Amino acid sequence: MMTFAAFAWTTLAAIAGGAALTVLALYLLRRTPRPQVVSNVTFWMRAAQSSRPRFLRASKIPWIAFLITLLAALLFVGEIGDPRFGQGVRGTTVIVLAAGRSMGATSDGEPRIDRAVREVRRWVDRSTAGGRVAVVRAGMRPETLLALTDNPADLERALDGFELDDGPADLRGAVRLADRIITTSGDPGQILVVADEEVDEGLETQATRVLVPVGVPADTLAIGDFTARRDPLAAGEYVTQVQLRSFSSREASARLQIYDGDVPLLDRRVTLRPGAGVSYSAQGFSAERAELTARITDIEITGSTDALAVDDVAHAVVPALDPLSVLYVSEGNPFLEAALAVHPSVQVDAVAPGVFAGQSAEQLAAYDVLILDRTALPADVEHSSVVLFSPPSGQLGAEGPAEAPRVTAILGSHPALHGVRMDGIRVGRALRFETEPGDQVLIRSGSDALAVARETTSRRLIAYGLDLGATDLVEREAFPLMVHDSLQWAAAVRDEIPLPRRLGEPIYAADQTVLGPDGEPVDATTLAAIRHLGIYHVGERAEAFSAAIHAREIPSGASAARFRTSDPLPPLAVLVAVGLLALILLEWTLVHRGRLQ
Amino acid sequence: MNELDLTIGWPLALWGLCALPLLVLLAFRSRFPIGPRRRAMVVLTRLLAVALVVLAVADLRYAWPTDELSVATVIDGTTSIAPGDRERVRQQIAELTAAQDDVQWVDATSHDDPAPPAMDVSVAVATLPRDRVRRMIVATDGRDRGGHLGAAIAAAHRAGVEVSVLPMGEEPPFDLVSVRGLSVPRMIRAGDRLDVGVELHASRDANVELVMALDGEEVARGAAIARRGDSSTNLSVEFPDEEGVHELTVAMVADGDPVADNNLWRSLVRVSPKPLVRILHDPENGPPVLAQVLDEGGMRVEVVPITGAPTSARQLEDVSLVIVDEANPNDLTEEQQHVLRNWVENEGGGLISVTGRHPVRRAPEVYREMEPIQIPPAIPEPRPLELVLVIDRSSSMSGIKMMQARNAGVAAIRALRADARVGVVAFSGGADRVMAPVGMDQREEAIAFVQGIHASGGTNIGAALGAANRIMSSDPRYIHHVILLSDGVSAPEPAIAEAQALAGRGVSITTITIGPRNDLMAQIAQIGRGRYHVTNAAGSLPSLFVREAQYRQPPAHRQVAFRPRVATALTMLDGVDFESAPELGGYALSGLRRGATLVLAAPDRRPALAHWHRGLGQVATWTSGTTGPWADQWRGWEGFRAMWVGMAEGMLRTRPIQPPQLRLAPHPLVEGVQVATVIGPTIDSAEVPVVRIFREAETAEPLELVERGPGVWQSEILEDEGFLLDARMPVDERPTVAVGYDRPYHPELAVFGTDSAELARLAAAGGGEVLDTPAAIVEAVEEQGVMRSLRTPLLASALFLYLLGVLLFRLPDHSVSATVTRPQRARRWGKRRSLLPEEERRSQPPDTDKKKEAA
Repeated sequence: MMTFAAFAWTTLAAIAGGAALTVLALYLLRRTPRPQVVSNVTFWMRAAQSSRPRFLRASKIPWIAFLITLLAALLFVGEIGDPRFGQGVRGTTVIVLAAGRSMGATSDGEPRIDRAVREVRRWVDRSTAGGRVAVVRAGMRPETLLALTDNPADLERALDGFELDDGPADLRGAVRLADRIITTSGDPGQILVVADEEVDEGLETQATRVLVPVGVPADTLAIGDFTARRDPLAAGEYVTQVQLRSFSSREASARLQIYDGDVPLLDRRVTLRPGAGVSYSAQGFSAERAELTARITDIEITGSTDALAVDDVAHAVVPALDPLSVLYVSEGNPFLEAALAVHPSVQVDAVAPGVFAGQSAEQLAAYDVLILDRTALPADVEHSSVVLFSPPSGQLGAEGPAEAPRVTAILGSHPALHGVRMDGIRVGRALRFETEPGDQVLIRSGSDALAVARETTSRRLIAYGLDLGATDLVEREAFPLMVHDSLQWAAAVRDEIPLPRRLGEPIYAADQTVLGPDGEPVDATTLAAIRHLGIYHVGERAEAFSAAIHAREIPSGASAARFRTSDPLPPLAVLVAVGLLALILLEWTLVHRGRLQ
Repeated sequence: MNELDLTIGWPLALWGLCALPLLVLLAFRSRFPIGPRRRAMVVLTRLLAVALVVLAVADLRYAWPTDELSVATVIDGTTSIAPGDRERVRQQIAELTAAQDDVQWVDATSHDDPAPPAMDVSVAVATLPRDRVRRMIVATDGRDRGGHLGAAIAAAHRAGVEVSVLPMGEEPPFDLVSVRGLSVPRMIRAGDRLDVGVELHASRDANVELVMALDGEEVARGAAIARRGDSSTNLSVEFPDEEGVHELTVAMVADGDPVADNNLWRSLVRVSPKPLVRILHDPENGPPVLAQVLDEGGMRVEVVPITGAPTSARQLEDVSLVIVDEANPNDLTEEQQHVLRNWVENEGGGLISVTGRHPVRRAPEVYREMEPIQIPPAIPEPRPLELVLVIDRSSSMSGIKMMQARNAGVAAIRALRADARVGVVAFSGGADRVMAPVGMDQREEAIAFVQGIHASGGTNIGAALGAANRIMSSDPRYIHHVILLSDGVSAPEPAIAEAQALAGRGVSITTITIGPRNDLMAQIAQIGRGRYHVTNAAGSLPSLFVREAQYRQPPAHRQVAFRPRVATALTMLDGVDFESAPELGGYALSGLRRGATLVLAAPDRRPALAHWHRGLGQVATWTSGTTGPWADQWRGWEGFRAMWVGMAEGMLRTRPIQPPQLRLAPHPLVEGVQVATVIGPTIDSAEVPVVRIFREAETAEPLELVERGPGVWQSEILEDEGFLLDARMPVDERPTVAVGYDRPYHPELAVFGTDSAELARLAAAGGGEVLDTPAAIVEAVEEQGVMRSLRTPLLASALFLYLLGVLLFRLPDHSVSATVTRPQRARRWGKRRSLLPEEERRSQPPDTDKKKEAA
C-alpha cells in the first residue's frame, strides 16, 4: 500500500491526466522530418517538396518513446504527490528515540542507534502521510528533537549533529513529554518508543504507546568505577582505583591501562570470569594536577565481542597540590633540605639567619610558611605560618635539651602528624618545650613536650624540639611526611578530594572558558547538563565527568527478538525520484543513441 | 536577513547531480536529428529538470521572510505561585490572544496534570508552528530548582525560539511566611543547650510565633519578625540527656499566613551521649560534691569507691574523664594504676586528681608519674635531729645487701649535723643489738657499731621498732626520726602497734625496702608520716640514708586560708573570675613537675591547680578539696561550678584518629535522590566506615555502601521526608559524625516570590527579555526567515522543463531539414553508408566505408 502525502488521490489523478494528455499532445506533433539523402541535383526540389511539414499534427506516434515519456511524466506527478509506503497514520505521532549509552551498543554489526534511526525515518515517513510527527530525544534529560511537522524531510535536519549521551536514557521522562506533546497538539495520537529496553509499565499515558524494540542480547566488559585521591599519608602521591566488571556469561579478558596524561601507571592483561568484577589500584606521584584515563582495549570475550565502547574508558582528576612558597632560614641542614626537596609542591627560598633578620614584613608576607631551623623567631615577626626546628632556648619556653628522650606519645589525630608513625625512633637529644594553655603537644617524652602546635587567631605555629642531627627519624619516610603535614597545617591548606562528577551535572561558569574533552569550547553560560564523559577544563580547573557509575548490563532488547522488524526500505519518494532519474537517463540515452526516433 | 538563504536538508542526495555531466556527455555525439541550437536548448532543459529533481529530493529550502508571529505560553504551575497570581496571568494572556488574532497562540501549559515548567517549555518547542516567527512567554517566579527550567529554555533558544519571561509570584504572593530550614548541628551532645537557627522566608515583614519541640515535647518558644526575603532567628534549646536520634520540629504561626503546609520544619539530630565522668572517691567522705556539679553541667556521672577503680581497659571504654576525688590513691592497686595510665596516655583520657588532705608522696608511683605534681621538695630542718637507724640484719640481708646497709648507715651518720644524735637498732628475730642515741662527739663509736652488724636470724620489725621507741628520747629540742631498713616479711600487728606508738610520740618513720614492694613497710611509713622507698639496688641505700638523715619529711599539707592566684590562664577556665573567689582552707603540699603548667598557685607558689598533657590525654591535679571543710566557702562561690565544669569539659577524652567525612549532594539525574559520599581518613578501603540511616528517630538501618575508590564509598538515598546519617570508623564505639537532609514538605513551598536575578538569567538564556506585561511579546516583531520547503515547486518546475524538453524534441527543426541531407552531414550524423543513395555510395572510396563499419 502507498499513500500520497502532498495531494489527495483525486488531485493527483487530475494532475497525472493533464500530464498524460500533454505528453500525448507532444507526441501527436509532427516529428522533425526524417533526413532523406538525395543527390545534390535533386536535393532542393525533393527536399523542398516532401520534407517540409504541412501540419503540426503527426499521423504516426513512436509508441516506445511515447510510453517512456508518459511514464516519466507520471513519475513526476507521483513524486510531486509525495508518495509514502503504507496507509499513513492519522493524528499526531510522537516518536521517543532512546539516546542513552546503550544505544551505542553494536548489534548485528551496527550500532543500535543506526537501526533505531532507520526505524524513526520509516515511522516519520509513514506518520507524516496523514498526520504530524514529533520526535523526543530520550537522553539523560528528555528534549524535543523534532517539533511537530508533516514534512518527513525535517527529520534529517533534526538529526544533523545527533549523538548519543554517555549516560542512561530517561525513557520515562521522555514518554511523559511525548504524552504532553500529543495532549497539547489536540489531535489523537500515539507514542512510538524506539528503544532497546522497556518503558516502565507502571507509567500511564493518555496516548497509545507502542514499543519498537531494537537490539539483541550483547556482552560487554565495562569500567565500573574509576576514582583517584591523594594519599594523605604520602606527600605528592595519589592512588587510583579502577573496577572492571564483566557483563557477559562468558570468560573475558582485556588489556587494562591507566595513564596520567601520557605517563602509564598501569598496563596489564586482565581476565574476568563470567559476571565477575575485579579492582586494581595504581599509584602515581605528582604535585601537578593529574588527569587520569583508564581504558580497556583488546577485549576478548569467548565466542562473543564487546558490544559497547563507551564503557571502556573512564576519567578522573587529582588536583594539584597547592604550591607553597617557603622561606627556609638555616645555616644548612641536609636532612631538612632533603625533606623539603622531596616535597613536590614547595618552592623554597633558603636564606641564612643573618639575612633573615634583615627581611621586611612585606618580604616575609610573600611566603606561605617560614621554616626556621635553629633560628630564633624575632618577636616582631608576625607571620601567620611558622614551623620551628630546634629553636634556641627561650623560644616557646624551651627548657633546654633532654638527653636521649624516648618518644612515649604522639598526637596522631593532629593534622600535622596525620599518618606519621614514630614507633621505636631513636632521639639522641631534643629540646623540651614549656606548653601554654591551648597548646597541643604533638610529641611527648613522658612529661616532656618535644613538639608543640600552637594556634591563635593570627598564627599557626609548630615547634619541633628534636635535634635532627641526633635522631634516626630523618632516615625514615615519616620525616618528609611530617614536614609535609606540618607545612600543610601551618599554611592552613585544606585537602580536597574531588570525586569524578556524574554525567548530568551541569557546569555553570558564566565568566570562564570551558573546554570539553575534545578541546572545543562548551557553552557553560546556562545550566546545560554534561552529557559526555571526559575531562572538562573550566578556566584553570579540571573536572572529570564519569559514566562509570552507569555501567550495567546492556539491555538485551529481548522483545526485539520476538518482534523483530524487517529492515525498512528507503522512503518511497526517494525510490520514485531515483526511478524517475533513471528513466530520464534511459530515455536520454536511447534518444541520443538513435533508438527512439 | 540574507535574501538567498538556501539550505539543503539531505546533502547526500546531491550526489544525484553527478547525472548532469552524464547527460551532457550522452548528448555530445547524439544521433538525434536536431539542430545544434535546438539540441542545446533540449540539453539545458533536461539538465535543469534533473537538477531540480535532485534538489527536491535533497530538501532544498529557502528562508522565507515573514513577520507572522506564533507565541507559546507557559505558566509556571509549581505550587510556590499563588493560584490567584496564575489566574491573573492567564487572564492577561487570554485577553491578549483575543486582541491579537493574527498571532498564532499555543497554550503549552499543562492544566490538568501539572508538570514541571521545563517540560512545558519542551512541549511548546514541539508544538509551535515552524513557518512563523516563534516566541515563547514563560510566566514564572524564577525559582528554578535544579536548573531544569534554565536548561529547557536554553534548549528552546537553540531550537530557534525566542523565550521571554514574565515575572510572577508577587500578585498576590503565594504565602506570607514559611519555615525553610533549621540551622542546627546534626551531632549534638546530650544535655547541651544550643541556639537553634530558624530560617524563615517571607513575602513581607511579618510577626511570627515559633514553637520548637523535641520529640513532640515543647522545648522553646519565641516571637520574631520575619523580614521580607530570607531571615533567621534563634531559639535556645536544651537537648535531652538520652543518647540517640531525636526529632526536632519548629512550628510557626503568623497572622494572615494563608499556607500552613510550610509552617512546620522537621529535622533529625543525633544526640551523642553525655560524656561519662567516673568519680573515684572515699565513701567515708560522703557523696562527692563534684558529682552534682558535673551532672548539672551536662555530664553523666558515676561515683564509685576508689577501690572499685577499673581493672581493665574495657571498663573505661565509655568513660571520658576520671576524677580521683579526695581519695587516697594508695588504695589503687598497681594494676588499676596501669589501666588508668594506659587509658590516659594511649586512649586520650582525661584525669583530674583532687588530693584533699591526702599527702602527696612518691607512692603510688605509677599514679604519681601521671600527675603534673610531685612530692614537695624537702625542707632543711632548723632543729637538730635525733635519728635512730633500725637495720634488718636477718639472714636474707647477707652479702652485698648487708654490706650496703652498713655503708648506708655509716654514710648517714657521717652526714648528720654536729648537733645531731644518732642511735642504732640492729634486729633479726628480735632487737638483738641496740645502741642508744649518742652525740656526734661519739660518731666513731656509732660508726663502729654499725660496721659491726652482721646478718643472721629471722625478721621481727615490731621488736625493732619497740627498741627504737625505747631508746628514742622525748627531748623537744630534737626532731625524732626513725629510718627502718628491711627486706623481709614480719608479723604486721606488733609492727603496726609499735609504729603507731612511735608516731604517737611525734616520731616520723621512713621505711626502705630492698626488693619488691612491702605493704607492711608502706603502712608503717604512712603511719609514721614518713616516706616509703622501694629499691632493688642495694647500692642506692647510702644516698637514701643520707637524704633521710639530712632532711626530714615536710608536712603533708598546709592548713591555711588562702586565695589561689592565677598563674596561667587556661582556655578551659575562661570566664571563671578567680579574683572573686573566696578563700580555701588549706592545700596539700606538692611541687610542680617539669613540663607541667601551674594554673593556680598557693601562697608559696606551690601548685593549687596544675595541668599537663600526658600522652594523648591530659591530667590535672587540684591540691585542695572539694567536699571537705577546706572548700566550704568555695562550694558556695558562683565560680565553683563553672571552674569544675569548664575543667571537665576541657579534659574530656580526645579521639586518637580522624573521623570519616560525610557529604550529601542531590542526584544529578534522578529527582528526589541524594547521593551520600563517605570518605575515610585514609586510602584503606578495608576500613569501611559504619554508616546508619535514620528515617525516623527510633529506626536505624545500616546504609549499604558501594566502594567508589580508595577509601571512598557512596550510596544513593531516597529523600522521602528526610533522613539522618551517622557514621563512625570501626574502631570507634559510637558515631563520630552525622549529616542530615530535611524535606518536611515539598521544596517548592519553601521559598516564594519573584527571584529577579534568576528571571534575568532565564531571559538571557532564552534570548528574550523580562517582560512587564504579556503584550510585550507581540511587539517589535522583526522579519525573520522561516525555512520553507521548495520540494513541490521544484518538482513542478522539473516536470514542466521535462515536458518542454520533449516539446523541443518533437517540434520540427527546419534547420535540420535544410542542411543535414548532404552526404557529408549525413556522416556527421552517423548515417551508415548503406543508408546513402546508390550514387552517393559509389562516389565514396570503399576503404572509408570499411573503416567505419569496423569502428
